[in-house]
Amino acid sequence: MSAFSGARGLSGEIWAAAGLIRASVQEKLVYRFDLLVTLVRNLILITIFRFLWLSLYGGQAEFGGVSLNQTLTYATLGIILSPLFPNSLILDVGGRIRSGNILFDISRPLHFGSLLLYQMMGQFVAALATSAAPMFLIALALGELTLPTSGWVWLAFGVSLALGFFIAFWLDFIVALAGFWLTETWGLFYAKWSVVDALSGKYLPLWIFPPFLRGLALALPFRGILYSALAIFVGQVPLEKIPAELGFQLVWALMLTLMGRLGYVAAARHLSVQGG
Amino acid sequence: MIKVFHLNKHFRIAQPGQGVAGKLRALIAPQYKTIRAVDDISYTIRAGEIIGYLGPNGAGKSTTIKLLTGVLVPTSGEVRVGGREPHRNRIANASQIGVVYGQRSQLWWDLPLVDSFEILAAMYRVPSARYRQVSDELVALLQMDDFLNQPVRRLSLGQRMKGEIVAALLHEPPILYLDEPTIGLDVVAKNRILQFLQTINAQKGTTIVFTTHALSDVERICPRIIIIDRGKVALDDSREAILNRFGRMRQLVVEFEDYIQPVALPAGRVIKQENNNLTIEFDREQISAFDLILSLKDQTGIRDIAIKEENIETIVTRLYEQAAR
Amino acid sequence: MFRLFWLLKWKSLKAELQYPVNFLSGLFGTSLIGAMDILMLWVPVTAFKAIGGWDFWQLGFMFALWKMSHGLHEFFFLPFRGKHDEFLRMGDYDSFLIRPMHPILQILARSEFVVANMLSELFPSVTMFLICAPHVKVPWSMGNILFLGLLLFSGAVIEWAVYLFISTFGFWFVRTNALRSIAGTFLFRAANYPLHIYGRVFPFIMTFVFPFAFMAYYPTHYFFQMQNPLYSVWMPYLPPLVAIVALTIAWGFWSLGVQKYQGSGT
Repeated sequence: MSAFSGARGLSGEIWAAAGLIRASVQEKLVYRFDLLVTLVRNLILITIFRFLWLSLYGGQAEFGGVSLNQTLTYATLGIILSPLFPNSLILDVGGRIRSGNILFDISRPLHFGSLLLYQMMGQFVAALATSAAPMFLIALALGELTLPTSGWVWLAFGVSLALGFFIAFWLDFIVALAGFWLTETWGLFYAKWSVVDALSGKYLPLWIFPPFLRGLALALPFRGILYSALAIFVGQVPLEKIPAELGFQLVWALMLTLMGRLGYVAAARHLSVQGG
Repeated sequence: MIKVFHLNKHFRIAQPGQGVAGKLRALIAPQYKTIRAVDDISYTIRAGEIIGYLGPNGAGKSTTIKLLTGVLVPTSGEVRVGGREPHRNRIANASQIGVVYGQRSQLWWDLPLVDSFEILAAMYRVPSARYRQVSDELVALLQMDDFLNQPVRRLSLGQRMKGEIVAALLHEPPILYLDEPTIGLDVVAKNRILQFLQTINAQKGTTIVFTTHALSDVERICPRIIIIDRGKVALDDSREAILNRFGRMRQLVVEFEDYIQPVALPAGRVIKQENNNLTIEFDREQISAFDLILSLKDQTGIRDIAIKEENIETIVTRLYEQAAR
Repeated sequence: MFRLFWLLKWKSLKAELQYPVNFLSGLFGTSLIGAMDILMLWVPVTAFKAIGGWDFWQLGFMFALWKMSHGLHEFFFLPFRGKHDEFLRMGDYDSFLIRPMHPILQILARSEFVVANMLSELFPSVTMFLICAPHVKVPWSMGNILFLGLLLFSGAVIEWAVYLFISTFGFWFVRTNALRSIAGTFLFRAANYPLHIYGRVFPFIMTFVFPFAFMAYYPTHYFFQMQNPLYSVWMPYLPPLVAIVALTIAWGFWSLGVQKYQGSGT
């Protein structure tokens, strides 16, 4: 305890965060072969969806006000970026609870949510640098991407991606808390995974959804994970509406953070009563 | 029953390269290192024997078991189990052997223990009447009634190991291999299992090969002991002969309150004296530990006492020392 | 031998039901994946009317064939897509090799959650089949129904053969997840849409390398009475043959692998 007292407060928190992020980045770099696999897999996925959209557009340059280039950019970028977001915390946390290792995690001088958050941030940064960025350049070279011309769009895209990360993380964290009550969590993992895949716009842009489904998807927080950033990037969110889009993400990010924190208090109480 | 003649098993292991250039070279033209896991071993085991197969970790015990079961194919030499070559007649060999791995499980994790027995009985084609008879008998001997219907994952290590042993004996094999079955067990569980093995051997004449690195395990039940080190048979002799040669030596470590005066011992010799600690080696046939401690009573207060048995590592070291002499 | 296989499957169902909450939630969760896949077909088809000239009912029918086959695969053959690497790493093979039963059959018997897995594939696929079949005007006869059964089982064997082949690399390399993940991308993503939209390379891969196209794409031509499938007019009738050939190759490769494991190969 005394060793840590000097590094308490905000600077201590940043110090701990930096350490955890660095550790995750290094961990990721150990599995260099996996990076190659991700690359190949992404190329296959990009090809599948490229052919799908070419076939759907059937030679037309535009459909419903969206150009083929915009759609291809959306699909490609979605495939490249979606591995960045945490989506399997529930398996991880469930495993730690079953093995009892959770006791180590919650006895660290750091909020459990923050501990996982920093680890996931590390993975986000590592995946961004080692798989998303090279993939982006490859896709660009293959002519799959049409880049925005405005610097503001680039900036908004970056902010939106970061907010998307927080939404994805805290959603995942809240679902993972179920692991404190349930002994087996794979059903929940797949359920959440399917819902996020469909409603975050990972494979299909929400604008091609039929109206009632689109309304639903646009109202839910899942769209903030990926769809917002992608739609901004391809220009489907007009410049003047970007602040509203980012605001939507920010509000959900904050709400989910709050919910995650409160949920954890309940989970920790449950753990201390049940003894794990 | 088991005959092993100039048996060899060598593994080739690719050496990982150092640095980027070395790694690339290792990819194109890998450098191999040959490990002689089993190196020219010969012995014969008769039906009904209990063999203690001893050796330090990595000596080649498990490799030998794998050769005897037919899981591995020998590099050269001959293995015969009940007249068959195990790796050429894997399936025929399978029904005459039972195998227990102390560090692995062959039970179905999520199922009640008894279900694993039923599955294995079906796999080995044990007629159902015979299965019931055999399992009742074994279960009674090991007093397993109260956990027979528990899922395996909820069993304690000792209970699980009893389950593993029964699972290996349901088809009444004439030979039972046990690869470190006592690892991690408490004394009570260990004793019950050792006693059980002795009973099975006496009643059914089962030949038992038992690997371990703890001398004390085999001391009680194995009339014959084979010590293996670095792939070679270091010693193959009766229990009595080995204990006479090596098992008699003990070490007594005494910690005193104060600095130690020079001591005159009635027997044994001081092998280490450091600050307040004194280590004495003695022959338990010559003097008991109790008498030895009594002889030290004139010293300023004894704070702590420990008695160390010789372990297999020191015996093996000693074997080499003797061979060198 | 078959009696034993069914005994093991029955025991494995018993093991699954030891965790009823997990069984039901797993069933629900994995069924949602099927629902998501259907959504991935339905959304673009609703917006664009057709994919590669096929309407929703045709696509749904093909999807149902694929997924029913896949469901059978999960029941019979799952461990080679799942735990084979682990069996090698944890040394379970030492046990498989000392029992009087073929190791491949023992591995097939070693599966967990096969029933939940199968049902979660069959729920969405059978539903889709029942919805789509009346719309695609298949001339149902006794022969066609029997052929359908044969096709579904052939499809399951084809998927198994691919993963048996991939698993065998585990005898030489510690992990085979790279190949697994690449094959999985073709199986779970590319097979959802009709093969002819993919240009030339992918159809080749899905016909000759990972022959997943025989699980549903080619057979649908038979049921839709379409005249000109890719490559040859015989393609719709080939799945049983492809299954036999693929399995023979994979089984042979596995036998080589196990020799390497026993140290008599290299």
